[in-house]
Amino acid sequence: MKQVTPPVEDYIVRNEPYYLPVGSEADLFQKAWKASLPVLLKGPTGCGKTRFVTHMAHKLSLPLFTVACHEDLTAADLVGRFLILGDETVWCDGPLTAAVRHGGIVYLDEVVEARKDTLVVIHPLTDDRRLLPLEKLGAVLKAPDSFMMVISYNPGYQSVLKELKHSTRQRFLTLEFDFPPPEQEAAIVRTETGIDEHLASALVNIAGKIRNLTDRGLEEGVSTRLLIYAAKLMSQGASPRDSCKAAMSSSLTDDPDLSRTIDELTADFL
Amino acid sequence: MDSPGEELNHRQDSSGSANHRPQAPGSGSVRDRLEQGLWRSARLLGEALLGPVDRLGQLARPAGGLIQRDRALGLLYLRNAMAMQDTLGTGLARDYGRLLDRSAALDVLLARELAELLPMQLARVEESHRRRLLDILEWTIQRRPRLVLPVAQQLPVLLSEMNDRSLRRFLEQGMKLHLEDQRKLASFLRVESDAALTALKKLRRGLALKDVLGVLSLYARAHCGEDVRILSAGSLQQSLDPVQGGRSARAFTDGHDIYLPDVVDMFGDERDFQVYRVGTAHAAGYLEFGTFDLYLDDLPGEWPNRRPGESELERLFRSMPRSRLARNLFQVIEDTRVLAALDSFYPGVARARARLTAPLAGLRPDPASLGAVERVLELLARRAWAPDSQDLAGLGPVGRPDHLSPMVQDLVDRAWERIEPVKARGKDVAASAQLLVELYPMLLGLEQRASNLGPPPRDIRTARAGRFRRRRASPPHHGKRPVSPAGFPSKSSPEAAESAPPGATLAPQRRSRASRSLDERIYSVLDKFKQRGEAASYSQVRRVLRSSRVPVDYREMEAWLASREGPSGGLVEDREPPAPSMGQLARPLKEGVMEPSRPGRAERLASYHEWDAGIGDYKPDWVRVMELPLAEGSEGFVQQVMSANRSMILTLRRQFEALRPRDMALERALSDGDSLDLDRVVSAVIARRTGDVPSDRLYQRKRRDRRDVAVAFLLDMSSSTNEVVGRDGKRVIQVEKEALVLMAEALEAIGDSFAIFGFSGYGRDQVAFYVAKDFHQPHGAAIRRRIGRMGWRMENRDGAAIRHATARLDGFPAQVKLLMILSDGKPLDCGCHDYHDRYAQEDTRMALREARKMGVHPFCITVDPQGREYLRRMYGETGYTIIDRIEALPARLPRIYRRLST
Repeated sequence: MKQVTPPVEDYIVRNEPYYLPVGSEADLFQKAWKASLPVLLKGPTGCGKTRFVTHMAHKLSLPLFTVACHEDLTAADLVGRFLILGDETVWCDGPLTAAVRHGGIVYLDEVVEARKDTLVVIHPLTDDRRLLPLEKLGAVLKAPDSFMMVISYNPGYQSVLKELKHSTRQRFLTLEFDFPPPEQEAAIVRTETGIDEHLASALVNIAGKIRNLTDRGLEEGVSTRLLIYAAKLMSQGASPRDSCKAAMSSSLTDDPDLSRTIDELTADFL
Repeated sequence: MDSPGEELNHRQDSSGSANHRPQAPGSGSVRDRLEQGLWRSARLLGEALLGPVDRLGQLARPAGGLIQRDRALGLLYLRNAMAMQDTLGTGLARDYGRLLDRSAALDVLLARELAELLPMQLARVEESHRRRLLDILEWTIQRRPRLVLPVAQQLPVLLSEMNDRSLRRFLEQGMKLHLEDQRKLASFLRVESDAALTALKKLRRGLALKDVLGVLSLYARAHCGEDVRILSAGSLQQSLDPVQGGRSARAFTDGHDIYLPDVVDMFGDERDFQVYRVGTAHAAGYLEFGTFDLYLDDLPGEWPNRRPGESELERLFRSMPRSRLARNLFQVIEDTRVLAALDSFYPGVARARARLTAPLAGLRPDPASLGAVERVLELLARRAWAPDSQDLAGLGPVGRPDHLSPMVQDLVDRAWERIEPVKARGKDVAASAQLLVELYPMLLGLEQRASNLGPPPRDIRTARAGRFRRRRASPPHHGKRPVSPAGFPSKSSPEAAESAPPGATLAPQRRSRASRSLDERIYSVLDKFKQRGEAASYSQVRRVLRSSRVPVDYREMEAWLASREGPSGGLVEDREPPAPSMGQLARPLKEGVMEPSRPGRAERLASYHEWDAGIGDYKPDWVRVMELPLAEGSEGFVQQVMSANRSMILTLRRQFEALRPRDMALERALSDGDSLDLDRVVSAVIARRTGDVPSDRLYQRKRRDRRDVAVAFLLDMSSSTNEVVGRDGKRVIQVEKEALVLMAEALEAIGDSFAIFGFSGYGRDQVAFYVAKDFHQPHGAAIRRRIGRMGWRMENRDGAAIRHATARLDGFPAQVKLLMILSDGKPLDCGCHDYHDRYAQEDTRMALREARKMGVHPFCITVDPQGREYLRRMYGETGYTIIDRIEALPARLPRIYRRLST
């Protein structure tokens, strides 16, 4: 029987992604990898979790297999399945299996979006056994030392159905992420988009004020990602006000009072 | 009219305090009369109200006058005025008496009715509107005494709609149209008729605070990162203060909240909003840039001891003999610092300020009309305000130079040289305080020299203010005001009330009683920190303590409860609560749980343990919960809610029906499943025959897609939910009930099982748990009427209620169990000495933890803007939501529920 594993070249991070460490997260991540421990990245949307993983994969020269989790994700989508090609039955590895075979990082993004029964397949990989049973093939893969499991989770959702089960949570080290401090966030916006220092720090000041409004009707503060979007629009020549309206007040809320307030805050700085 | 009693009243009002005046000849007869009527009633009242007899002294004179006119009226006044003294203040209680006297002179029966109605109405309106209410009623009595009752009934709503001038015109129109028919007048005043609506539209000009309150609250909160409230400054801020720019309603902050004028009508366009925005940013700037972070003992110099309830700023001003002068000078210095910080951090605010400066320059006083010291302050204030202090022309009227000018200019220049450096980055309030100490003698010296120099400027009125008469420490409206021919203080011109130079001022002296007692606690904590040599700032400590703003001792607690308690006891069922007398405010707290409407018997009794944070252990069988059924209420409330929200209910039903799952969903095109999907197998075979690549998604599966959610709503029915919120005079509990009525419709549509509980109680052995709808009961008209029946009762012992609700949820089979708690604040039960603050919060936290352990997901929705800290502690980062404006709850609740359960 033929087996197909995706070639590792497709999953190598070639260009170094920009990431500005805020604390000891890079160091901890590296130590966790050396100790073969799985890691949970916890933090609000758009604060740099995915960028961090990509950065670390590059730094550790590991292939990165990213899975964006969703409700219809099945165990077969992760592990792999038989396909019929011509008259042949071919086994195709899923990203999880591929990562184990290549000894890379598998990154399950927004893991709570996946159904709980799907997530059970990762359990044996996350404890000291580090095994992946492939029932359909009747085989068990032992993960090499370089294999690492990383998942991400956003605690701000407030849905009782989207809480991470404790049995899953307890298997991971947790690195907590938040929006970077102002100077660093401004540096990030500047580096990512090339806008000038003045605009970058104005954007970060706006963000700081908007974040004061979380749990005042705003479910999450404005993300670094949205700041970068606004900056990108500006560097394309859009007016600062328009950019901020498109990237912030309209993106963040439908509430007229809130979006007006965000516009006024934008006007305070631009 | 000219009876001795009458005269006495007036003299007392103008002199402020009658106690120290020598006995006027001929007052003996008055005293005799007073003693006859007064002490007899005082004895009666003392028994009834347990009020200290000495407080009666302050009401003795108005009461004496009234008893003379009509005994029943006098007694009624005494009873109500004593309750008012505690809740609304002595000043209002006295003015209330004066108004009654006015109307009794015309019609005693009318006065009696007014005596009953007025305390209610005063309690209903915001603090800043109370004096306006009295003023307008006085005005009405002078014109059309017969119409005073309908006017008094409708006035609370109208006060926030219009300024005084417009309101008087509106009333005049109404009176002219409906002079004969009081019923029609009432309807006009309720703005039901077309004529009224047209009149209102024509008279209401400018931008009303209530229309931008939501935006401004969020804006202030975003700026200073603290939970400041935006309140109406109304016509409170009417002073002759030169620095504050004449008589005006101007934005100010007392260090806790931000006060803004009711209406801004300066431009008639978008710039009116900018006036609000600049005022808010400026006021929030004091908080953001640490104006209140003063700690005098850290500064060199001798400072007087802090008095109870005094803020550090007030103490600083008191350390100088001319504290008012000190305050005005400090205002200028601190403005220089704060505005510079504001401008450099918020360039947009600087631009908005600059745009408003020139067009509104005319609102600043003419220096030539001011005394020497005020002139210096005014000129310094302009420099502080000028964005770059270069261009001083165009900031306000210049005035003709006179004999004082050289002296003034010289001092301004010298002072500014010293002040300007506070603009530098990193300067804090201590720098401003030190400057105040340095510059204060300079101003005193100037005053000396100016008075040696010769005649004061022409304008007598401002000159009088200029001499800084020692004013009593009462709010400005207690001070002298020009007296109109009718013998009543006349209002300042209504036009002026809406125009003041933009920006805000500091007014620590105007803190409310609650803020003062909070400050007292903050400073005692701060003192302890400082003694131990640990670093802490006022704002840090405040942030922590704000989250536990609960009265400290029993007396305070009592006053607090009385101030929150509405006048109607028992169940509030319909829109308009009846208007009982103020005497009921003193409803004894000792009464047990109020009987439910129909003498109910407890259907179930249960006892629960309670967590004692002090001993770190549970107290077994500590609380007793009685489950009581609710009787059905009348249709009124529910019908009103249903018809007012018809379109929202339709939308909700549609939205939630879309979420309703199909019983057995067939999932097709799976790569893995229970059985083969025949259609797809066939097409796969065809594909293979024709050499195509067949799909591998050949399976199907039947999934039991049952939505298995049960939710219990737990409504806090404690007395604090009786507080009136919002402009339309709704109470917290009414809005919560409205939300429940709508929510129930949505839940029906989605098909989730739900129960509606309420809780209240008094003490640990009588926690009342009301059941409006149980899980198994079908929803319908009867349930809706029961929701309508829910009303405020006593206290809230959250822990026990949560435990009981959890037990009820636990007994119901469902996969996902939600407990939604609708609350208005912290757990509090003063039927038991312990159940407040930390003890109560820790017990609630444990009850929630127990609930989670039993698979129940608790979620709290609250309206307490100060709730963040303690809610985070009790419910965890994601287990709560704060609703900014309670009016939004009916719309928000279904959205929150949808987010939680899908």
